[in-house]
Amino acid sequence: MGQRSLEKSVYMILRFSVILSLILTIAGLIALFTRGPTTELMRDSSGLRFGGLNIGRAVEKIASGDPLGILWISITVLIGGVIASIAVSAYRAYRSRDKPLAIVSIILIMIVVLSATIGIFVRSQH
Amino acid sequence: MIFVAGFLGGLIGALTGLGGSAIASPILVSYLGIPLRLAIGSGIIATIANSSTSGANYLAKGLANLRVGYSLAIATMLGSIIGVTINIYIPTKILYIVFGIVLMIAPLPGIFRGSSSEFVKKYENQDSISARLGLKGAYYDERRRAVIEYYGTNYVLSFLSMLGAGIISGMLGIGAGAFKVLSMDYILGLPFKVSTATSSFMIGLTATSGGIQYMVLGYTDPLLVALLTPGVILGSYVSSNILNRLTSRALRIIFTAVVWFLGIEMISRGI
Repeated sequence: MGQRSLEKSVYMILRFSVILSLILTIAGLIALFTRGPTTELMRDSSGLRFGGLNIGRAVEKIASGDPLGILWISITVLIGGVIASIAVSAYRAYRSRDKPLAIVSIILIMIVVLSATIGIFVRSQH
Repeated sequence: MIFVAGFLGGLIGALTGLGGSAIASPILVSYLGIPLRLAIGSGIIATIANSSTSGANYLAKGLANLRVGYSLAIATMLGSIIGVTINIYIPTKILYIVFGIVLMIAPLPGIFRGSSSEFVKKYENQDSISARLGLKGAYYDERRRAVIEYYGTNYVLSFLSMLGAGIISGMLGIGAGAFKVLSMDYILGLPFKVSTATSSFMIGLTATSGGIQYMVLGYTDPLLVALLTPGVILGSYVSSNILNRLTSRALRIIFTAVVWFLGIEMISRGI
């Protein structure tokens, strides 16, 4: 496997995810500002008000067609792009019997899973 | 205003080697009243977008080394998880102080390094782990009009220093590129250009593990991310394509003074 070829594949995946995420962000913002404030996040008397949103509530918003749901999807696409690029690296390294790169890539995916798991654990404790 | 904060962050962050969110988050906190942890949790997502743009470009150009980036991202991603966990458990006042101190220290290597990017091989031999991981590569240097071959060594030491960079990245929601470049340049022995490009690519990997944790914890605001990210990307683009051509040491010092001002502001909030 040529490393340059893999690097170009990773570049394409990352580039695609950023463009898709940007399109979704613009669509979400347009929907948000044309439809007006639809959630408790959006407005107080002085204008926009911000507050964190967790994944459970994000799923509800996506399901209910809330524009904030579109913005959540755009973030997911961005993160998904990075994870997909690692997964493709692992697959291509495995196919070409590049054991060190395959192992390193798989470890990175495991760390991503670990971060979500620890996040869920810390949240349950907090 | 949030877009402008992101733009200024991208502009100054790219020039000082701190990254967009390191500047944007203090502006959001100090001048727009956004809670610190929310600014950090949202800023780290903007960092991913920025890295996926600039870091990916470096990959396509053959300057960033994917194998080096992945091998060291094991450390930065683990560090990021530790950093986010520290962020959640330490008092906010301490978080302000740590943020301020990092802002004041991180631009220093860029000032003292000067403008020379000439690669001088630092180590004669490659250690066995680096050799097994295949930490080597080559790039075309336009100034010297030659292909420069290089290899990395001291993997374990570099791994440990990257763990520290990852902790800072996760705890403060920043790219911490300046620390990564230091590690690759001085410890791993890579050419400065390759270190900078690979660091830019690695930032996205590091921020992904931290970003997922902040999302799960509810410290990511999609609207804040949506308004901040385009500003950070645009600011970085302007900085790397226009300002870097005009860069003098004096300009770097002026921008560093701005970063120090923000650092002092953060520290004063923590005291």
